Amino acid sequence: MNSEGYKPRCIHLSCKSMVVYGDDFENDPDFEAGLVDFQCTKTMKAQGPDGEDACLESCSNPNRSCFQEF
Amino acid sequence: MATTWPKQRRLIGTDIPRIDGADKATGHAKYSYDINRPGMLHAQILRSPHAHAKIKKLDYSKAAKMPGVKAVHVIADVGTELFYAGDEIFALAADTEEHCLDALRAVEIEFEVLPFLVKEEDVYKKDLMTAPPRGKDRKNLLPGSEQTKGDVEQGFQQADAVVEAFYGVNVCTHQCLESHGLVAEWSDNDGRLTVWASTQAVYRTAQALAKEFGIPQENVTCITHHMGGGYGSKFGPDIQGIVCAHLAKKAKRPVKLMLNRADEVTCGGNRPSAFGKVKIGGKKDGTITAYTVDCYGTPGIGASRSVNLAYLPYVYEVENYSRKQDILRLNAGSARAMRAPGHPQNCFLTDSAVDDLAAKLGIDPTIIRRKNLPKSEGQGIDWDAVKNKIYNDEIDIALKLSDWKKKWHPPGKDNGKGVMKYGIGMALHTWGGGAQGNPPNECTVFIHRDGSVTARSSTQDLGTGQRTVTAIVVAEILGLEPREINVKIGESEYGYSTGSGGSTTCPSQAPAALKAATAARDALFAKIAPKLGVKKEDLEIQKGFIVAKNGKKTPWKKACSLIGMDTIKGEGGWSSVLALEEPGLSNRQVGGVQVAEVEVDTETGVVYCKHIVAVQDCGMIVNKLCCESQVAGGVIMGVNYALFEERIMDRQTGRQVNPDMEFYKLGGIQDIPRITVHMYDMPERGVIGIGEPPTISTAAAIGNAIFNAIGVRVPIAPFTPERVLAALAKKGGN
Amino acid sequence: MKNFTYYRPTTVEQAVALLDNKWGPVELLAGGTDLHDLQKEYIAQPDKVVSLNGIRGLSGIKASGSAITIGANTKLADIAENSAVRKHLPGLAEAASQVGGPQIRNMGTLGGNLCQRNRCWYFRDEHVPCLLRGGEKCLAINGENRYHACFTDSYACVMVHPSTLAPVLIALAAKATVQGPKGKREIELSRFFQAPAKADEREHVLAANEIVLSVSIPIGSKNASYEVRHKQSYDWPLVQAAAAFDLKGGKASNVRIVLGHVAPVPLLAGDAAKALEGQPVNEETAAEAGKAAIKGAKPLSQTGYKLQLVQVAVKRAILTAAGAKKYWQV
Repeated sequence: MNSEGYKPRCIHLSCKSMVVYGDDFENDPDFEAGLVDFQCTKTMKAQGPDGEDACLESCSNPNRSCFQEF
Repeated sequence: MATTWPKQRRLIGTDIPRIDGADKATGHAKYSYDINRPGMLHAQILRSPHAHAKIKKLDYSKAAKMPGVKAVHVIADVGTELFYAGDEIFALAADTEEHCLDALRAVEIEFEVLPFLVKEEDVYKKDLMTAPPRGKDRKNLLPGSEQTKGDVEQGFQQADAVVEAFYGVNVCTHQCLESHGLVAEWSDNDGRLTVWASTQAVYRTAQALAKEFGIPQENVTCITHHMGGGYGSKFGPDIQGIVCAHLAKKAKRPVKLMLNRADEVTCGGNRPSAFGKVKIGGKKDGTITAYTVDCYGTPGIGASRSVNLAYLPYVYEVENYSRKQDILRLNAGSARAMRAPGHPQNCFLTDSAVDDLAAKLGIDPTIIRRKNLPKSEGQGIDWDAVKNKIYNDEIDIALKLSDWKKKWHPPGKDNGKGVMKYGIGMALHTWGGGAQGNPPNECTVFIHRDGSVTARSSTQDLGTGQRTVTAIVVAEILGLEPREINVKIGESEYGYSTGSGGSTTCPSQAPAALKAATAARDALFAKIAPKLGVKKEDLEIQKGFIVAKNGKKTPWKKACSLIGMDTIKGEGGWSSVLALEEPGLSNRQVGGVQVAEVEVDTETGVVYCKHIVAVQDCGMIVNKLCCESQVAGGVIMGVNYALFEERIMDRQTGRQVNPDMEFYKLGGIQDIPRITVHMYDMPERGVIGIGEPPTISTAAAIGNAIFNAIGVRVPIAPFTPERVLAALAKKGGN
Repeated sequence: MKNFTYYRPTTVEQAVALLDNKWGPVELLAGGTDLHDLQKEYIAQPDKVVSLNGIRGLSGIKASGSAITIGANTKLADIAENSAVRKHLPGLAEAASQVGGPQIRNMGTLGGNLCQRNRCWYFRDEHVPCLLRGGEKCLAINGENRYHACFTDSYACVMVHPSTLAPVLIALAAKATVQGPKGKREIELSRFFQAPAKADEREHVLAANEIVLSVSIPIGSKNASYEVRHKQSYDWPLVQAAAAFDLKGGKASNVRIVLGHVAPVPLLAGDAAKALEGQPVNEETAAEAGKAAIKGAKPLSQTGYKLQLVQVAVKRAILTAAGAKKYWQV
């Protein structure tokens, strides 16, 4: 959570930063540097159920067909 | 009252052999691979043989009926687009491994084979749009934007010498000795799942499995008592763990799914390559006046960057720079975090150029290194205040331990007449490694009435010696020996802990253990003081004894027997937030300096790395022996990165040609140099992680040593005989 | 691996009778360091595996006045450590001592080393259509070939023969005794190997129902093996040279130089031998022989570097055989 307010994010999005840093994942230096790989935990691959990339940007879009709120 | 590390330390900072060392050496230690449960089935995954394809037909009816098959699981159904050779399609579990593999081969599958790209340079020739889609975007090339500071043009004009060159490091894979995977077992009647997983994140693995099956988290237990290496690639159950648990549920039997070596190498993760044009200018006094880098690398089908752009130029403070990186997405296994992500690449693209610049200026490269070190700001124990002193001290130590002053010579000169040329080179690095956790990492210490002590945490020991760290801290506080502490780790039920990434485990767990042991000690005092006829404030611990102010000494076991019917419990936690509130227990950011000595056979191009000096700080050292071990291990990985490891992709078939330990080369016992480790202890800073820093600068140091030996730069790692000969040929022979 | 029936005969005749007259349905098992890999990777899929390990008399090292005879089932570790081999055939001991690592040397045998399949990564990947497994063309020629041949003229498949014992044995004019359904025959090691070009051909000339019994090596010459290695532990050489010659009055005669890991067969370097014949052995003459050794080389896109290594390996093998100072170790 940051001071800009709550940003919706799909519950299935995961990355190493989240595993190590939890909700504080955006403060992982590797995350800040764009050095993390993302995974959809629904498909367990780097693509979501709709076949598109799993990443913070596209998995924060509530209109995406596979998006699931926390 | 705030907890502090004891001022007088009996155990902390000394050499303590691992308490699980004998278990590992004798085979008593059980890794996930060793777990065999009653009635257990074996599972494997059918994967795409093609670099890019769509599944047209998937018929597993025959396979499902093969002897011994008990459960099947579709991962990618008809119509799914697969993006690399290794992409998961289907899995099944059978009573033996042989039956499992036989059945997988009976799966009938047809593909529509699609175009692919597997080599970085081919993306620049033609972007075939074969990457996994982002909306409508299928581009393989993700261009980066340039970041600049100061005036680069002016910086180069001010320089006495400018070097322009191309450097690069290839993709390397984690090659964990124990592959990815787990054993999954569902209980018969109450829907509980237990997994023995090879993971760096015990708690999160249980959490992820609970989410996948929609069951309460308390109903999932992840057990990892020992694991055979992760290096950043094992942060959850992964697809093979999830699939294994599904198969176990369907078959109503335990299932083991561990990746074979080929799958491990192609699908288990890798470190992105990094190739780049570097331009560096500097003055005769060593000042770097400008630095530019335009680089690219591949994360396979992932999308992560290969260098940490914010840290380029690396370590050195330069007024004028520009930096840019392109991401090249290829149809190959995805990158995963690998031991200090970005930093080995950063170091290579910076420190190689530093030595080339030094050669052009005609000066010892140490002069450039010292001249451009980050300046210290302020007072105290934080990195900004101590960084300059740490680097200067570590350079001093490294120069002394390598006998640099006697051995250094201008590159390729004064090097004797023989074909074997000696060279020496240096590189610097930095890393973070602070505490993490939200909620805090938990540790619980129990003191039992028979005098035995248990320390419990769900954290994992990846081979890092974390189990021993906890034992040392608790033993220090309670006046015991580390072997007397029963350390229980690696089970998700033991509380909350963060995954072991970013070198954050020791700085999170050690203070948690300190607090737990301190709380347990205080609770013990409160309990037994009345029975000893003293006040609890009058008690203190000495080695093996509880001692009262009036001089009365009670041996530990006797003191504990006074606990009576109960058990003493102390809880402790540590997190990044607490670390800010209570400075001194843990800290973040370290330096590091390494020197490499090599001999190069100039007739064959073979590089013999003879010696690595590694000077490393990590705040307060808890187990000096283990720290040295970590440094040696990191150095060994760095030597391999420099000399041997390379993922080789074939552009005809789109497959990796060396998914093994044969032609994906890993140094053996005759290939690893003498390693001199000097630990730079800074107890006043508190505990900082050491897992990642020692592997960062080794390759760059070796590259610089080779340059020093032969007088010409070998720009691309690994420094194979072929690449060394090519460089020598460019130089025009010796 | 594909399921198979395991046989453990006690005589050579029984073993021969179990073999097929074409390759594929039956495989021989000695140390298993190659066969089991091939089976696990589904490159070899025999219905029958015939072990040689129950047959007495197939292993052992016998030294006579003029020759050393080594049983085909002798472990590489035993060859490397045998005192007669080390004394008279130092090149063979050297080569055997560097094969793989201790585990491989403790299990691998002489016969297996000579008859092993090649290590080309296209050959060993069942998912790609390698020429030797029925594919249309050799994938290494236009592919990843840095460890492949640098003498490629007239070869359809450009892998390198992986045995490091073979070049030494050929240089020493060794002979193999093999047994088939029609009885025993002798094959000179220089004629033992062939470059396979299709699926039913192997890297040697044996019929599918022949078994190597022993190799006999004349003693008396100076000999050595030199490998240029990327890694010093657990690696194949990039290039190997074996040299054998008589040294009388300071001059070399009966020179034989054989190259390993440069062609689909161990390659007799005739021009190199000619260059050294009758010459004193020193750095200059050894270098000249090295230069002659690359005549006729036609490297692939990525094996040009091997030409330099061949010259160096030949030079150093010659100097080592002659007992000269090893200039590269100074």
